[in-house]
Amino acid sequence: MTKDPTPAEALAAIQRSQQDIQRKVAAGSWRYDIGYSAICAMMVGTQALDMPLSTLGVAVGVLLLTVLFRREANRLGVSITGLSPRRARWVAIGLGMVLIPLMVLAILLNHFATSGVMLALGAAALMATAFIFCLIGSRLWLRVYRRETGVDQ
Amino acid sequence: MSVPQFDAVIHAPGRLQICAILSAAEEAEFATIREAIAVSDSVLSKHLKQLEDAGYIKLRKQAAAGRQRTWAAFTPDGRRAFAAHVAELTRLAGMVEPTRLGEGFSG
Repeated sequence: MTKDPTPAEALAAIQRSQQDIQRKVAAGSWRYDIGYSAICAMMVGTQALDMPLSTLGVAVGVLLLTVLFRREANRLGVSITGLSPRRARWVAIGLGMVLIPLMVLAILLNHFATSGVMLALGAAALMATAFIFCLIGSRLWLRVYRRETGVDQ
Repeated sequence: MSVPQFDAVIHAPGRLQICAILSAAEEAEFATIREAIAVSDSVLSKHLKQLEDAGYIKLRKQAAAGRQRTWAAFTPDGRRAFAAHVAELTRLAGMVEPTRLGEGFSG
């Protein structure tokens, strides 16, 4: 880029720099997605346990998610919240919203399960559902992000 | 949509690229920015200091694996100023598109 770029040159340089970063993010990571999905599944599953274990499950889950986000940011050299661009934001919000009914179901399971086996099987089913939803959601987010930023992988 | 406004602090090539990087992420690490814009540590430090003095970015030090890493992020003012600057560049580029600025004149 020249020392005194024309507006068009400056805009082109901005786009190139943005795409350098977006390409890094758009590369994605199965390891990250699987880790994220496993932590969310654990948070859902622990809601089927009695207090204070259920609360502890959420607290540990949030802590693990923070560590996961930080590690991913260190690996990429950039940190993103997942809340931009616009369409990718809605995928991220939707992904979070899916976990709420699953957690509520786990809490109900804890109240209404008539046996330990029923509780264990129900919790396992909810954890598997949460894991699959989160994994699909993560990959969907990545796809929407790539499409929205125009970065092809 | 931002009100177009040219910003001389942002417009310098290195700083323009730094701002572009920060507009695409929440935070960016010093080494990542340095590699992306291909400048030395000291040049990048100067650019970051100028942006920080203007109130456009905030810097955060993080100790990781026995060494310190510096992370840069836009402040709300910085994000607004960059958006306004891009709007102004877009406006100017639209104006000069048919005949490039400076071409066709011999002085």
